[in-house]
Amino acid sequence: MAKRIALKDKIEVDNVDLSTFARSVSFSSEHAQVDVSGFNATGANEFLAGQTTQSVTVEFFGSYGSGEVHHTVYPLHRDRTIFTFKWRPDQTAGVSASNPELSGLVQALTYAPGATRGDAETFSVTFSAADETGLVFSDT
Amino acid sequence: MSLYRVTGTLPFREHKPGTTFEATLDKRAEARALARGNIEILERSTPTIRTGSWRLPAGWHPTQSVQEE
Repeated sequence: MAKRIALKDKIEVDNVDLSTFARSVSFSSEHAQVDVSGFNATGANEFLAGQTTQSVTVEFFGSYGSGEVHHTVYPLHRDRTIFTFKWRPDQTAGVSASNPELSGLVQALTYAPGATRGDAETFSVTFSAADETGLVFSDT
Repeated sequence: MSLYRVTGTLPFREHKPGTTFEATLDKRAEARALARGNIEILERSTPTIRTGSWRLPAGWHPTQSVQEE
């Protein structure tokens, strides 16, 4: 499989394509490490995978036009809405094994825009998985 | 299933601004998209069964119970 330069990623929030306002995306899926160690001769620990916590963080450019980032994401955060999120590497191609799509129902638990004089305004939004299905990659 | 037009400047789902698409959207997601100005409804269709547009499989009778032995 070829290496890739991230250029054409597709980011969809509550059905709205915000790709042009996003410049980075980072998915995290973590199973809690539950210690189930008992007494043993070597003293080694034994663990089982516990609760799963998933989230995806997107760095957006600040944009306040109608239907853009603030107009889309802030009401979802304010109203504690559960909505759809999708990310795939290539927006010009359909979902496939080589262009898998991460999708699921999420909540925007944190929303923290900010700005620095002279810099392009960017801020990160973390979308946390909101139901038992979680965020999953599919290739169809 | 309803007919929508993408009215904003951004694509909605896989549809570009200005294009139309048919879909069955979640009611709350639809309301949010309408409020944001992402889409407009062109035609709302309600699924209906018109008299005479259907028939039961051969041997079935409308008054028969499915549980009947």
